[in-house]
Amino acid sequence: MRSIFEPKQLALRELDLEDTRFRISEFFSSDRLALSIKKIDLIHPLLVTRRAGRFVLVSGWKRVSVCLKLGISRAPALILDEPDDLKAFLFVFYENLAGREFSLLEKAEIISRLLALGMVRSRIMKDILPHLQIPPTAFYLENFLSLSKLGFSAKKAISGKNLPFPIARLLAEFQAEDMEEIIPLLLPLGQNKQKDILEDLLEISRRKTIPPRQILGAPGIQAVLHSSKWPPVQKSERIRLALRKERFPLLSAWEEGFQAALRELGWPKGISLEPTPYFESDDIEASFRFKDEKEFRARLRKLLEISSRPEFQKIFARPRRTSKVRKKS
Amino acid sequence: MDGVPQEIVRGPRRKLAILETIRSSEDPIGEGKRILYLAVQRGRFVKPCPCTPGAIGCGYFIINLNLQCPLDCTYCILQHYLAEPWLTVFVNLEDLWRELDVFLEKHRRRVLRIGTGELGDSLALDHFTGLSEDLISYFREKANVCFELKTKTAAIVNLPAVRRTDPIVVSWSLNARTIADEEERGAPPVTERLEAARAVVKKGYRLGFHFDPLVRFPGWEREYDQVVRKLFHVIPASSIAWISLGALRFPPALKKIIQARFPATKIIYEEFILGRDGKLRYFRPLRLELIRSVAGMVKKWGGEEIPLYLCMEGEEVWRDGLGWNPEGKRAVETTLSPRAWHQDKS
Repeated sequence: MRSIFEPKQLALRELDLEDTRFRISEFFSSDRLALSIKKIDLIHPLLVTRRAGRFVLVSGWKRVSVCLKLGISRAPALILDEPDDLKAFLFVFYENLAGREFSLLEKAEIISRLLALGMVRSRIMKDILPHLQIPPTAFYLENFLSLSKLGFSAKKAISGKNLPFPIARLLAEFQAEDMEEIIPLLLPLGQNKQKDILEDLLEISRRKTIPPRQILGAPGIQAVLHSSKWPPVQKSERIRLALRKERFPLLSAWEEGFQAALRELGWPKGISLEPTPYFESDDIEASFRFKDEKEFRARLRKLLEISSRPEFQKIFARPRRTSKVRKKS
Repeated sequence: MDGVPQEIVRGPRRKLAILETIRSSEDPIGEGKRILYLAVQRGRFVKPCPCTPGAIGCGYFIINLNLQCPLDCTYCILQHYLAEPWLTVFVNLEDLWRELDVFLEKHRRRVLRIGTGELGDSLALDHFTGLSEDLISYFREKANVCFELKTKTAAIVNLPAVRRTDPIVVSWSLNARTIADEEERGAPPVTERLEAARAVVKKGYRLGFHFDPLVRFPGWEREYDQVVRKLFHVIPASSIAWISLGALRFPPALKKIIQARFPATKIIYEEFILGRDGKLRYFRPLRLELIRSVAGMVKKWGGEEIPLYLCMEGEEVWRDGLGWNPEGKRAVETTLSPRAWHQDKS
């Protein structure tokens, strides 16, 4: 790798900012950098190289952006004499690697650029992914590549909400046409619920072979989306539950049936009654706490009284016909 | 194997380098299926089938003679279970015979069921290895064992003729036509498997059939009925040693692999819940419906006497699915035991 640098005070207008072949950052906060430049000027030089008679920015997009906003027209720069794009890009990579952590989207961009510039997959996995704290497997490589192809709104959501890899990866499985509906649904929720919505939407879509936007276009979901009754977080939560019901119709029916039976019995708050997780067995567990013999006997009397009512049998009744449940959903 | 590149793998570093090359390919699992690794089994060949926590086992033992499979079924657990993606065949047969002698002697009071088809297809590589003939020669004279070869292929050419009383079972994994056609890449159609099974009956073998995994898809009832009916049309019920049923189940990590390798499949998007053993399984009433239905088809077309058992299911599903609540794996083992054949022989 050559490392011939020529220092220069560069007029920023000499930069071809349309040429983004070396750019890895799209979303960043510039407040601190702006303050620093205002107070002590730009210390770290930009890294640029020449292509077709113009200067192309290799490293320093954030700095240039801030300088332009502050009306600064010249900045210190090092001119990299490197005609090979891949080698020049590796300068950006290693220069940044030494000084900071890359965001999820920057990692995706680095991988995508390296591949576009001719580095083979096996070398990216072996030499680059470990530096990015990414497991060196084809699964991760392909998933990060799909992140790099996301549209602006999805990238903005990932960056703005600092979405972790498992959620960003799921988001990347949707088509651009679906994003407009999905992203506003996700933003008010926590990460576990975001994951639920994305997984359920994807899996319903694959099972029924219909696009997610068609699922979200169902009248029931549209009514929630366009209602003025609920704030965004409640709308998202209602839609999450509706999707869960559609994804797991029979399980949802069993859960609802069990809860309805408890409500009908007026089940006492101090006594817990739980089926095994996902009703994997017929067992139901009753439990309660007590402070003394009197309280213990009171709980037992209450249990005996409830169990003698005819509607207690509904605790054990389960919807049997799966086809009916499917049709309803 | 003319024209196939060959290499003697000297040392663990070279093995690791090959592994890294495969792992860096776009489809390491598919790539591994193109490499046949002949190796020495340093550990034990024979192990109890691990079954799954909370399930009633069947007392089966597995012989790890080959690992991985050249077929490429969507749902195959080996995609996740085995660390090395290549097809391995162990070649130190003398060690295997010695180990088996000791093992069978130790368990001489039991009638054991043992087979090679757990971590790979028993016959898919048999045209290269000819191992089936060696195994059958070894086991056919043993008194306290029933040896099973389990396959999805029609690779029966190496199977020698046997006596009907020999304790050898050749088993086929069968499925509904849609599943066999769409989810079992590289495997012959079910009709071809059944033709191979018919030919094997003529060679004197008893047969096993494994409807595992049973899969829910639109039209599953009709298609499973068709395959069960076809089975008993082609194969006399009296030749069948056992039939097993098992509903589709898989560890969550396999789901990601399936999604990446088989993006068009829909079989993983039914109502799966996380079972007590940490595997994704159909919600219990759905798998009960599958098991009850197919068990009913077996009884309808093959009669009530066919020994049926479930793979990796707990007490309640045995009871509600088969109408039988076996008291532990010994009860299942006894039901499937081929003692009767040995009595015939005497």
